[in-house]
Amino acid sequence: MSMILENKALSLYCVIVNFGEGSKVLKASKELGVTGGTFLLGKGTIKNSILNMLGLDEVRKEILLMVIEESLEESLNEHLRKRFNLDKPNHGITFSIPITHLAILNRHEYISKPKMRGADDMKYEAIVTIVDKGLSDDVVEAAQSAGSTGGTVIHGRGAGSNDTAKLFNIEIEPEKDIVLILSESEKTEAIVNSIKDKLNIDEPGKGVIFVVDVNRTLGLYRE
Amino acid sequence: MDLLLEKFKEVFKSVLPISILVIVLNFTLVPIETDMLIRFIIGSVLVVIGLGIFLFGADIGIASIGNLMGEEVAKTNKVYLVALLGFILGFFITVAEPDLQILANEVSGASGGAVPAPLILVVVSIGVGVMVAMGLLRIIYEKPLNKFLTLIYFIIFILGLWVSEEFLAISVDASGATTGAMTTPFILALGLGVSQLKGGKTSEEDSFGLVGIASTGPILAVMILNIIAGADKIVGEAEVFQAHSGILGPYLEEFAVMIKEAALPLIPLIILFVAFDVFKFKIHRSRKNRILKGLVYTYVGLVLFLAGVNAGFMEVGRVMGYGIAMLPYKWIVPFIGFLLGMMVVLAEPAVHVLTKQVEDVTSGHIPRKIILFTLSAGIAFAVSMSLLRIMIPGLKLWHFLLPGFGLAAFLSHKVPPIFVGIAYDAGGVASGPMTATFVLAFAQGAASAIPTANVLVDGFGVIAMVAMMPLVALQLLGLIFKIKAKREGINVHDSGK
Repeated sequence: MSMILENKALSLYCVIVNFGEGSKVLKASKELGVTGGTFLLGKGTIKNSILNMLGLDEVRKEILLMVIEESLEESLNEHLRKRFNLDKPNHGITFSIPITHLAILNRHEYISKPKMRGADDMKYEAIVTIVDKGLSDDVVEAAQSAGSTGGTVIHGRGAGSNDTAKLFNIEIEPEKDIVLILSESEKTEAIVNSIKDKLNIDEPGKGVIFVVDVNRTLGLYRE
Repeated sequence: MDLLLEKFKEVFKSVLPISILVIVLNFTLVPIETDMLIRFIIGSVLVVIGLGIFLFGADIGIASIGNLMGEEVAKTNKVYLVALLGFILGFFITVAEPDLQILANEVSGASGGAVPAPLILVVVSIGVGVMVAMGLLRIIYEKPLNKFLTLIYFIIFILGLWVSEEFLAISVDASGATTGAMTTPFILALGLGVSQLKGGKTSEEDSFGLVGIASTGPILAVMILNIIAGADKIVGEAEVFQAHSGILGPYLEEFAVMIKEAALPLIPLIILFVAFDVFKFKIHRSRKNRILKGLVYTYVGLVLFLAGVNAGFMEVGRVMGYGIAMLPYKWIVPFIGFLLGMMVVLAEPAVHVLTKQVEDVTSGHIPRKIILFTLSAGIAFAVSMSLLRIMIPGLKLWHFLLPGFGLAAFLSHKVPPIFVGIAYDAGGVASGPMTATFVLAFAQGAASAIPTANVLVDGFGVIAMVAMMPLVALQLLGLIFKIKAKREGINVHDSGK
């Protein structure tokens, strides 16, 4: 899949649905050629004064993250909309974010994009690393050795193209650690390469790294 | 309103199987009185409504309190404070448990008054308090759960050599009685709170196991009490069974009792919560309101649920058990028990709480359905074995318990640690009010129809089987998980690392 993905515009496709629906969405997406996805758990709120008064305004949600080719967005949107009635209220939402770069099974070194917006302010990028559970410490360590100041670890589960086992006909999706790192654009290259080398992201099934552009930040510590 | 509907749909699906089974049995094998059948149907409806409301409340009320207290306990960072708070929480939650009060009276009566009921109540509560404290310290000191549990069960085994079979059954039943509908979600959340605040690599697997540890407290306490007091024969007879008549009468009676009983375990929870809040949490008013609303739901839900179970299910269980055991083809008894066990556990309140916590902690990696399926199979097996034991005088309780707990201890060193915690917790969870009432009534009904059986003695011990089988079943599931995961190349953390 790496060879196909290379040099193509990519996006991060996010779906937020009620708990339990996520796996179905991923399955439907796979029909269109999506290779895998990662789930996070969250809580959603409902705007309904009666339910608020009763204290019943919290729902468990699943957030599904998928890295897809940008050209697939249109058809995936249509497919999911039809299958899960997403145009009706309370059936879930989707959105997509352009990805600056993806490092998965990629033999080439990561090279920063040339600056597009001129050299006005300090630019930041968000580096998202998804690895097997328990490896987040290694990711943060590798990032720090390359100049990152820190990272945030989220716990989730994921399903790639070939690593789901079935038990009583229910798919078992392995647990994942998702590491979010905000870095200055100049440092991104070094950090991504450091993580990639330390965790052998090049090898199949070892994880995914992708980089998303960030517009504004607050609260980042700068030396 | 979607949310409410969703919840009730889920609850409805878990109560429907057992209701259908009973109605089918009524029209095929054992016809029961029309009054009783109508009462059963009303009971089913009450159980659905009650369970739905209870689960909402448990989520935003009891679980929140448990989490907050767990975090607070872990924050104290002083060993003696953790131990003391653990003890206080365990003790007061248990002492107010209505099931335990009933059991204490029964045991006191069964031992011919040699052991007064209040003494049993206090001793068992101390047992739970001590074990909750130990369980919390275990999480903080990162002692492996499997070794810890193996040690406890080894001590139980040694003590068991001096204890008569009757008291062996009573002691395990006591552990079932203490893990009530209120207590279990609270202790589950308490363990979760502590392990999450502590964090670290073992945080996920440490989120489970506290209920399992806490439920060994009563076993140890009753055994030690028995050895000291020396009563080893159960005397007295079981109450003569008298079926109620009418439809509404029994409900009114049960409601009157349950309104009081369901309030009892709430009192220490509220007192502890308010005390903690004044001194420690100081949480936002809207959050506090939410928690208090949750407690109200829990209470209302539990009253409806328990009234439904006691007035609608219990007698039907008893009559069905008797009727089926009277049939000319006896082999059908364990078979029906199998079906019954399989379906009844789905309607158990704490089972929903546990499976949800499993999903939350593992981000859905271990799906709810698989846990339910395994638990269902385990309880089915437990109930049918219990009935077989009642039918065959040569089969003793320890013939099942000894290999069962032995196998559980062995497996706990072979499976991923999180499954050890889930399995031992599930043991306490499965022996909740629904299973305890309905299955016990069914077994007692069957025992009263079998000449070689003793209703009182054989009745005890059914809960023991129900509490034991999940340990084996869910750990076997863990083993399958591990093997499957290995074959497919997924990294599941080994217990031996």
